[in-house]
Amino acid sequence: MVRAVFEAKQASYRYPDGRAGITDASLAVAEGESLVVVGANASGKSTLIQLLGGLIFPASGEVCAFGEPLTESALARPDANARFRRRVGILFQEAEAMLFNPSVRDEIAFGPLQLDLPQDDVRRRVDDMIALFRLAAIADRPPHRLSGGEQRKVALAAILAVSPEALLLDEPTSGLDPRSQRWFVEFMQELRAMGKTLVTTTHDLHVADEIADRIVVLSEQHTIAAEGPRHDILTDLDLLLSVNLVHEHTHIHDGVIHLHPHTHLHLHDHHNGNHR
Amino acid sequence: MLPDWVADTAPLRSAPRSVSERSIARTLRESARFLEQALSAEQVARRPGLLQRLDPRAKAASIVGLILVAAFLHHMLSLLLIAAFAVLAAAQSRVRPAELLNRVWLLVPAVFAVVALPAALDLVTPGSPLLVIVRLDRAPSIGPLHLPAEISLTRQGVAAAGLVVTRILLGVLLAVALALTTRWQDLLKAGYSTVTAPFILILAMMYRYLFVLIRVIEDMHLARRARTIAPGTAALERQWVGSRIGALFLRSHRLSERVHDAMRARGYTGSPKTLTQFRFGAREGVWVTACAMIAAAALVCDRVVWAGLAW
Repeated sequence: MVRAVFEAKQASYRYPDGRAGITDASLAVAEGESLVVVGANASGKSTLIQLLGGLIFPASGEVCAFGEPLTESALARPDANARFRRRVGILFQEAEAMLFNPSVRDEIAFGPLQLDLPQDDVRRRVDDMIALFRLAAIADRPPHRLSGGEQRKVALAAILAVSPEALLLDEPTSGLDPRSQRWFVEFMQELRAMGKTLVTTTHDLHVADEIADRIVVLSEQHTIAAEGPRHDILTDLDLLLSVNLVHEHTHIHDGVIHLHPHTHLHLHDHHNGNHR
Repeated sequence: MLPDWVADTAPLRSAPRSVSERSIARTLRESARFLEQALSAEQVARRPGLLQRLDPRAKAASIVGLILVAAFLHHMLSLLLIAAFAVLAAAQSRVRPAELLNRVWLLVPAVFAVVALPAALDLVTPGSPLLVIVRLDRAPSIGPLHLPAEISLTRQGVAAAGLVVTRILLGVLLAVALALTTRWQDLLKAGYSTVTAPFILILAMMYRYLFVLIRVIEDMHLARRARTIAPGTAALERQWVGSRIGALFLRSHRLSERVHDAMRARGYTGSPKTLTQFRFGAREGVWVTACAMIAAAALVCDRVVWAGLAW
């Protein structure tokens, strides 16, 4: 039986101002699985990532990681915190907040250094990441001088430098130009093939189609509206319409106004290359 | 359904006054621009030159050493010897004299007014008069304070003031040479130690996010300008600036929370660690030896060779 890396049991979270972040969320993410969380804006995707990443804690319900309850008191223990942070990497939606070091090189070194890896190991990891992500030309530049795509790449290199088992990726492709977006999707596919556990949030159904094994759909009421295999979710237009992930499209044929759900999604069959 | 008036361009009810920026908005915009230019002036630090190639720690330590030695020198010629060495090193680092000296000259009026002028007066440094500045019929008294009837510059005062000013300007010259040829992040790293680590981390983050906030200020300003048809009153302008300061504070607070989350997510528990890249090779050895020799030469000349000279 494949063990669950993350598990949420009826977890709810409210922000200090009373807004609901997520309500009664129950889900499990198996080891090596690529789970995509889709939902409209403000549906609770980032809140879910923060809960699974041990940055906020549920007001009710429970979140577990690697079979252990993920609580504030558990992460207050330095050994447990270091163990968890070594195993889980989080890519934030805003790269700006993630890149707080004076140079790209320092940014990549930050995580391994906090986890007390020897300096020589850290240097080797930094050099490897710079080579892997082709960052040599910008390695000594401050992050605020980089383009959006470069910033996102540096942020990903920074979390991979710790070599986590699981990655929580919050809207990794939003706001990127098509080439950068393509690069990211292909990189996530490589991570998935490598056996890393991925939890990715997005409202882009094309991205979900390309990287998901399973999809969780969040409603605008911050609850889990559905979960299931990629194909089942992405072909359920009524579901996608109800959670504001596709829209009703009005157009005229022969003088008659038609109204129907609209999506540009063409599903891939990853096994035989067919398109639907 | 869009309201009908959206289709029409509203006529102006009166001819607009000239849209010139109010001083507060202009000050805000230009301060932001100046700050960004000043902080991002790293072109000199990127040139391939003598000082740029040195390890920042070796460079910072040797330059601080020279500044300390300068503080103990009593003769102008000894100070000029170190200044000549600094200018020569800067020239070898492809720093144009104007780039170096312009930053030093900026301080001259302030140093002159605050330090040199009072020190040259007989009120502070008694001695043989050189130039009488004020001569009164009788000595004035202010309460228990009795002033002389004549206030003048003294020969000894001018010599002491000249020495102090030269010493200060030499310190500034050396510090500017260090700052110009070292990138900010390297300069910060040069001061890194277990004790200074938290301060260095805060400084580095302040420096890094200053640019983000400058960009936010510029965006706010541009958004307002894009919607300004006629200039508002000075009171409205002040109200706007006040509200933007509040908005900026809230935004920086939210940003700081997100940054802290990102730090925690990568294992930060309150004790910063950094990649130490201290290298002390042959180049650094030659440089530190040269600095030590100049410092020793200046001290020997100051105490032995030029001991009998007044300056």
